[in-house]
Amino acid sequence: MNNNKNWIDQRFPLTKVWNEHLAEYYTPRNFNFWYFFGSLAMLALVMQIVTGIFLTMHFKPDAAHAFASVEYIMRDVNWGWLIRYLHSTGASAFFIVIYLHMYRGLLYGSYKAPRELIWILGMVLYIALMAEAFMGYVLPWGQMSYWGAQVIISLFGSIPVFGPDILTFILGDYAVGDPALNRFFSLHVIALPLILVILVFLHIVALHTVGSNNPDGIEIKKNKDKDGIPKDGIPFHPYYSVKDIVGVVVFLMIFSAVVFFAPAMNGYFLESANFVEANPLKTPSHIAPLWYLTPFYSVLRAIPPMFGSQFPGVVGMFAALLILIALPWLDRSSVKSIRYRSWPYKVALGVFVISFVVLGYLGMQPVTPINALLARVFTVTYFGFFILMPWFTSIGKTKPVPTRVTE
Amino acid sequence: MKKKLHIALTTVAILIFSFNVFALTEIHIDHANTDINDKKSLQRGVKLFMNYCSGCHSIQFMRYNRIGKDLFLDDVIVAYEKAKVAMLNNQPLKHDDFMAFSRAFDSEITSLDQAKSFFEKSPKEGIKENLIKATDKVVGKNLIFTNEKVGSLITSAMSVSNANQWFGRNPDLSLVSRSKGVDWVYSYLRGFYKDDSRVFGVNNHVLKNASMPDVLWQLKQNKSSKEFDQDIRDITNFLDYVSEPAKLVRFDLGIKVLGFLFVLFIFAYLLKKEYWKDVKYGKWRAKD
Repeated sequence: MNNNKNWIDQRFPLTKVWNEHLAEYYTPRNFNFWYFFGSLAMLALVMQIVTGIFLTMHFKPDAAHAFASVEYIMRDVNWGWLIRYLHSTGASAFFIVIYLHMYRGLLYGSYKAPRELIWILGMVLYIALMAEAFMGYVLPWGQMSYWGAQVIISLFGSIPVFGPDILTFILGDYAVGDPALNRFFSLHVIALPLILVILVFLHIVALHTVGSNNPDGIEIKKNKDKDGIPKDGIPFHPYYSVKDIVGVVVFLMIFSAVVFFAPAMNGYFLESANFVEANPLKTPSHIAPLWYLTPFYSVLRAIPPMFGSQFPGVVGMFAALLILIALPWLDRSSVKSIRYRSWPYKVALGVFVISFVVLGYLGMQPVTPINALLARVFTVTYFGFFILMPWFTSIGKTKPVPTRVTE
Repeated sequence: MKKKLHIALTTVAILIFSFNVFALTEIHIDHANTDINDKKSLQRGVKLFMNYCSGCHSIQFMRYNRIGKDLFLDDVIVAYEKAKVAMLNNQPLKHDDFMAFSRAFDSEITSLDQAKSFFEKSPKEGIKENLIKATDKVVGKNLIFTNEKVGSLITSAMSVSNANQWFGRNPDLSLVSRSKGVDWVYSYLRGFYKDDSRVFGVNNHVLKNASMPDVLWQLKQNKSSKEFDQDIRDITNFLDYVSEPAKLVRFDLGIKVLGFLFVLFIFAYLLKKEYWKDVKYGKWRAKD
């Protein structure tokens, strides 16, 4: 055994990698509930890839056969229904986990120096994941797949001057059709998953370089013992690996409950209109993307057309997404964790969460005058959180931060 | 602070929900009250569907033998098991028992001795295969009115172009109860009323100016309203099954999976607790 280990170690840094990233990677010992979601996101990614491999074996990326091939998977492929539900529920679960993971960052200031790059990589991951999910949703070729794609892709057509040409270039046609389905399939199963895996790798390498933040927002590396080990650190393996297993099991319990008892989640995870095959001649009365994209869709609809163009709305939607990247530089507070922050930040974070959730809800609803007004109000508060951040993070009295982590 | 937040949240929630109440549709939808685990209802449903619906409507993602396997195989197996018990206890065999043996051994069985000798030389899997084959035969005889094979997808007798010419539209019903909902299907089928201004003399409460004739009018006329509702419920139940055959198995499987995960949780939690004792007492540093 030891001989084999030596043999490999002389040729590949196995023991070194194991120690650096698991057995001797020192992690703050005060992680709480919010710290489960990083490992759960990784689980969701693996699950999507594995179930995706099996779905790809039976799915036909052809406008004439795609819808029927999904139903074939649901009926004639052994365990096909389970694989498909794991994949469709997995997509929503992935976003729930990612949103909680990002919210953890906001709570404890995990994006602040020296972790700006981890945050940026995470944001790029999030955007790539949205593209991945959107393209995956087109593949079953139901009414919502088709018309959702039509709406989202037509956004590119609103770009001044080059819009229409870009649109044709993206679709390979003048409307969503077989060429679009084929290229979305290619991007969904190869290009984007590859990008996601590489970004996750970079995200973790960056994290392990600076070390994890914690609910107190204290740098544990500032307090080392004589062996150079952080006094408040514990090795990731076995302590957090066994703790994460508990998180995984609890996650799987909730996840399985959805998969087996409510896979469509009352239309939130699988929309009922998507059980009708795509029909270019019949526009559904109400088109909405799946729930994880709706906050941004709301922003898009909230901004009125200007100079006869929808372009400002498109800019607003992408701005709402991209502004998150600037967070590390907008936050001027001297402390990281919400535990020691001044009250203006706490209020602002509350307003931000409410804005995000309400925008998400409104994005699923048909536009009515009152809904449009609410969407505008919450779009303003959404952007207000970022624009006013340099101000409200520098006022108010922060609490003193302890030197060692609290229990 | 928390109280203020709470008030703000509640106000927002009330605002949103109060304005969306108006979006409710005017159409009255009744609750279908179907039970996917009621095999007898599903069996009645498929018979009604094949007699009254399948002439025009396909369920193109469903196969005949899948219906046999899901809805009728259990009965065939139960009949065989019953006959087997009677045989092993040397009780007199009834007509049904001989039928069951004939199906199980795929040959004409007329006496107890014959049944016994076949039973001894037939392997278990062979019997199961024969019972499936026999079920397929029953399905072929009772549910297929065209010259389709038992493994075929269930298409309608009417061609799409004819249907479009005659009725304007003739939807496939494989997924109707998922796209429209079980309650909608139930209400629609019950929703026909007399209207002489329409081509077929009927109109529908749920789908205004539906181009479908009231194909179930005979049932409505000859049965009590309670029996008629049950017929509609059976058809609806069957269509619910057709839209997602996995519904027959996923609930039971889900309970098993959750049970397994619960046991796993206990062990995972105890393991974590054991390891974290070290963290509590700072013992992990003493490893070398």
